[in-house]
Amino acid sequence: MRKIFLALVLMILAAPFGAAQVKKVTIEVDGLTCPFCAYGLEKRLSKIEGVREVKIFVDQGKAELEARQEGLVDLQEVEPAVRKAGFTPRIIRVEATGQVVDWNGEPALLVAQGQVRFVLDNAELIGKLQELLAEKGTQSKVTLTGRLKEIVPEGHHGHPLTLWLERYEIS
Amino acid sequence: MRYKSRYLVSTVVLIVLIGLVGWGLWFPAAKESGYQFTRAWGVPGDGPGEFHDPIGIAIAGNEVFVSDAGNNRIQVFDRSGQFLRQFGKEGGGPGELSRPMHLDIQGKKLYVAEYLNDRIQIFSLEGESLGIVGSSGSGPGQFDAPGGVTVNADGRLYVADFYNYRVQFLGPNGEFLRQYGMTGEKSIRAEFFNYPTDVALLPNGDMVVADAYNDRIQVFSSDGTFLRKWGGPLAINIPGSAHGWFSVATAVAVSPDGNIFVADFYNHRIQKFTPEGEFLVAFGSQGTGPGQFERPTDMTFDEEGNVYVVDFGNNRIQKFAPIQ
Repeated sequence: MRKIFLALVLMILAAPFGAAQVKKVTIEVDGLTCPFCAYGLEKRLSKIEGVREVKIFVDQGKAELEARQEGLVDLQEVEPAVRKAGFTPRIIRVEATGQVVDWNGEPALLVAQGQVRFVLDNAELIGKLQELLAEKGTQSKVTLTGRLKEIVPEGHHGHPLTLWLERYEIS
Repeated sequence: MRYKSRYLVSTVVLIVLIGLVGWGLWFPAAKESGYQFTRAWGVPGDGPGEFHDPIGIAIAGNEVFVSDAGNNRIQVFDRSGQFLRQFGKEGGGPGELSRPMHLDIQGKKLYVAEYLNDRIQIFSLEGESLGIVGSSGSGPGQFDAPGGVTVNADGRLYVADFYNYRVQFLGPNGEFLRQYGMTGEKSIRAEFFNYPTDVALLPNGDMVVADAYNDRIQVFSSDGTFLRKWGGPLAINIPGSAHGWFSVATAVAVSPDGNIFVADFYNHRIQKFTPEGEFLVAFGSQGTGPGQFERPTDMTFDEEGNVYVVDFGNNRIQKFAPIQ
C-alpha cells in the first residue's frame, strides 16, 4: 500500500517535468521494405517510455507511435531509437495537444502539465491559428500536427523542440 | 618508340585478360536449367491460409510450416498448399510468438526465431511449446533480434543474432559454446557480419551464414574456422544484380543434394550455388505473376527436389519443380 502511495506521489511530482501530451508520432525513414529492418524499428520504438503501440507501414516507409493515454512520450528517445534500428529518420512528425502561448516572444505549445514543449514555426499557419484563437478564446485547447525541425543535441533534454506547424484543430 | 608501342599492346592485352577473367568470375553463366513454377497459395489477411508478412519456411514429411510474422503465428499446410492448422498468438509467454522469423525442423521439433521476444522457441510439430532458449541482451546466450536458427543432429543451435552482428553456437539448452563475428561490430572483413539474418548447415557440418547487409554468404567449418565468402567482387558489400551478386541476402538454405540456395531479397530471385560458392542457376523476377516474386525471404525443399519459396511482398508461398 505504501509503495503504491509513493508511486502515485512520484507520478504526480514527475508530471510537470515530463514530456508533452503527445498523441501520436510518425517517423518516416528510407529502406523500410525489409521485414528485418521494419521489425527492428518496431522493436526499438516499442521500448520508448510512454509508447502504447507501434505500427509499421512497410509500403509507406513509416512508423507510427501511439502514445499512452497520459501522452508522456519521451521524444528525446525517438531519434536514437531509430538510429539504433539502423535507420536515419527523414521526418519526425508529432501530433500534440495543449494551449498556444507566448514563450520568450515566440508562439509555443503549452501542454497540460504547464510546460512549454514545442516552439512553433511556420508564420503563415500560425497567423491563421492565432486569428482563430482570438475568435474562440486564447485559452482554447488545440491539437497541432507538425514536423520536428531539429533534433535536440544530447544534454539539452527538457529544452523545447521546434515544431514546423502543418495542421491545427481547435476543440 | 617501338618499346612504347609494345608496352601499350601488352597493357591492353593484360587489361582484356583481367576483364575476361573478372567477367567469368563475377558474371558467371547459368550451369543448370533451373526451376519451373507449379503452384502458389496465400493472400493477404489474417484468416486460415492468409498471410501478413510471411518470412520463414520449413518442411517435415508432407507438412510445410510457415512463419506468418505479422500475424504472430505458425501456419501448417500440406505440400499442395492445403491449410492444415495454425498455432501461436501474439505475446511473450510459452506458446506465444512475437514476430516469428526463420524456422528450422530437427528431430520432429520446430525451432522458431522470435525477433521481438529475443528467443528461440521450440515446438512439437503439433504446436505444443516444448522449451525456450535465450533472453534479451548482448551477452553469451542472449539475443538482440534473432532472425534465423538452424539445428544440428545433436540438437545444438546456430542462431543469427541480427542486431548483435554475430552468429552464436549454443547447446540444446542454450548454453553458450561459440560465437562467430564480434558483438556490436559490423564490418565487411571476412568473419564479421553486417546484420546476419539466417544460417544453414551443409551435410559435412560446415555452417553457412546469410550476411544480409554485406550482400554475401560466408561459410565456416564445424570447428569455427572461416572457409570462404562470395557475393559480388571480393564479397565486400558491393550489391548488384548479376549472377552471384546479391542485393540483401535474407535467407540461406541447403537442399537435400547439398547445394546452397539464397533468397536474394531486392533482386526478387532465388540463387543456387554449389557448397564451394560456384553459381549454378537463378530463378524469379519482380512481379505478382506465377514464378515472380516481391522480395522473397526464405525457401525450403522436399525430397523430390521441389523448392517452396516465401514470396514475402506478395503474401504467398510458391512451389517450383526442377526442370528436367
